[in-house]
Amino acid sequence: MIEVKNLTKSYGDFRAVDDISFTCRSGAVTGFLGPNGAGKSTAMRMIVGLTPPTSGTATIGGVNFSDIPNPGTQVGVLLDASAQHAGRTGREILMLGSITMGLPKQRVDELLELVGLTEKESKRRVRHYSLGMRQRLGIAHALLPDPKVLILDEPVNGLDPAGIHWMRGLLRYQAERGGTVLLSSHLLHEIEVIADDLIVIGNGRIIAQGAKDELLKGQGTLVRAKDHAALGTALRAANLEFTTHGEDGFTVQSTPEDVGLVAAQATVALTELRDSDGSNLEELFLSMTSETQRGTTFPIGANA
Amino acid sequence: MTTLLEPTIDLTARKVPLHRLVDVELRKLIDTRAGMWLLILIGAVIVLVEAVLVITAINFGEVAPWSVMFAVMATPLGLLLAVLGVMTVTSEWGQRTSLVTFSLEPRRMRVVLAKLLAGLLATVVLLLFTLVFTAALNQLQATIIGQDAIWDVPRSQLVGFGILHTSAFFLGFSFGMLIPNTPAALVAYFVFRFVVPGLLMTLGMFWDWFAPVVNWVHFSNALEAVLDVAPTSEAYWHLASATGLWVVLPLVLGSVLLVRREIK
Repeated sequence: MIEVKNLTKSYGDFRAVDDISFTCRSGAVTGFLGPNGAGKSTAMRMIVGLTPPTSGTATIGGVNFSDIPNPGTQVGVLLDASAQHAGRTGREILMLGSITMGLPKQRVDELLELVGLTEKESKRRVRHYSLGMRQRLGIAHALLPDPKVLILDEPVNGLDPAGIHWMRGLLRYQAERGGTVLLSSHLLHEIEVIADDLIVIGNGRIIAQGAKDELLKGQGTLVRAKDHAALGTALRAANLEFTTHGEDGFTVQSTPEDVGLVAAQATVALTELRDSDGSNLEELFLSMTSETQRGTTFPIGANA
Repeated sequence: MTTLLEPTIDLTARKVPLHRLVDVELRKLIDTRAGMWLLILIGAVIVLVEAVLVITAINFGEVAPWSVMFAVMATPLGLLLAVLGVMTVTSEWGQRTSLVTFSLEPRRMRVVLAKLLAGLLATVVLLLFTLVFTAALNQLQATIIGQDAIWDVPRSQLVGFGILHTSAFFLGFSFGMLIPNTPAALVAYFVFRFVVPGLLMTLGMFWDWFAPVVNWVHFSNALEAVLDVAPTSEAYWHLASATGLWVVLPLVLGSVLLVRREIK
């Protein structure tokens, strides 16, 4: 539904977004993940036509965003919850959006209720809103016309746990009814829970992408035996790559079946044989973006 | 229960009609304190200046002519309408609302057109208010003093008054388009309004070759010449040239920059 091809944005010598390509399917939530300054927001602004790309294309349903008539009604966009006039009331901001899009007036009330902003809060100026409230207002704005595509930049930022839970339900519902959702975040755990597909970006380049389950699947086989040394000898003899795991185990770059056969032929009794644990997204993220992280590693108190 | 969403983009949908964009821009003029106060201030200045004039006239027992009522209003109203012109455009940039505005209507020049029409509408309403208010005051003071009101502003001069102040709005708007920052655009306008005319005249005196050029670039002189009782045909060309330089050029340059600009 959203298709990005070789998208690049340069500012002088600096490549904020460097030749990225990806697709967001309909019926799925795509998580756009990367550290601060990785190029997520720039990429999203290019998708909605606010930032002219240096090269490459971004289309939604096969067309440029700016060629969509009354685009707000089909693509709900939230790029920055704080980019609102602080002197307007929340209700007025939704009102301006619904007038532009040509929606019935009661949509404003419906959406305020949906995102949990009270009548009283909606009449306060946005200056007095917390980040969480602005975020809810921005989400209400994106959802005003009940769009089929959602493009949300850091929507869970500033939401409280209840808000994050609510957000998950909302995005899941949107995907289940066939909608397309692209959301960015640097909050790994949120993305890990919400997203079906992942795009990991660092330094403007895509580092990894694919189905979340695939990306997080464990690599190799975990095997343990009482006779640790004999197992090691057998694995080495079978020319399998492996590393030690704990006191008496190995992580082998092979399937459990092959490892089991090797052990059986060497008549080593195993105490455990299974797929190794899936790495979580945080490990993946840190390992992939380690070169692009800001700041140096802080080893004190880190448990290895 | 849930209806599946069509996974395609509907290209046959109606684009946002201009009247809705104008509607939104009119609301934006009054839905913030800054915008509301500017309009209230313009209204208050009209009322106060005229009130002082009329009270003085009543005290002296001699009616103030209608033309004087317009004359005292010229400078403050012109300035405030220019400020309105600047802020109609620049208010979009100060708080980054442009992210929302231009993702709802990516055809950026349509938003500019809507802003221009909304600001122009506000200008016309304020000018009509001035017209009606001064006419009412003129009659009122005459009745109180017990003399005949002096209706010494012919229709042609009323039109001139309208053009003068509408041009102030346009100038402000163009400066705001070229310089997308409220204070900077206001300063630029004040420099244009108060420094440039004197500078042009001075340069004209120093360099003989520059003297004839002044006529072509001095906006207020050119406008005054056209609004004169019997304007020459050359006066129209002078005004066209000055308008091109101070209104059209910044507007066009600003539009080109806006269409190409990255909105963030």
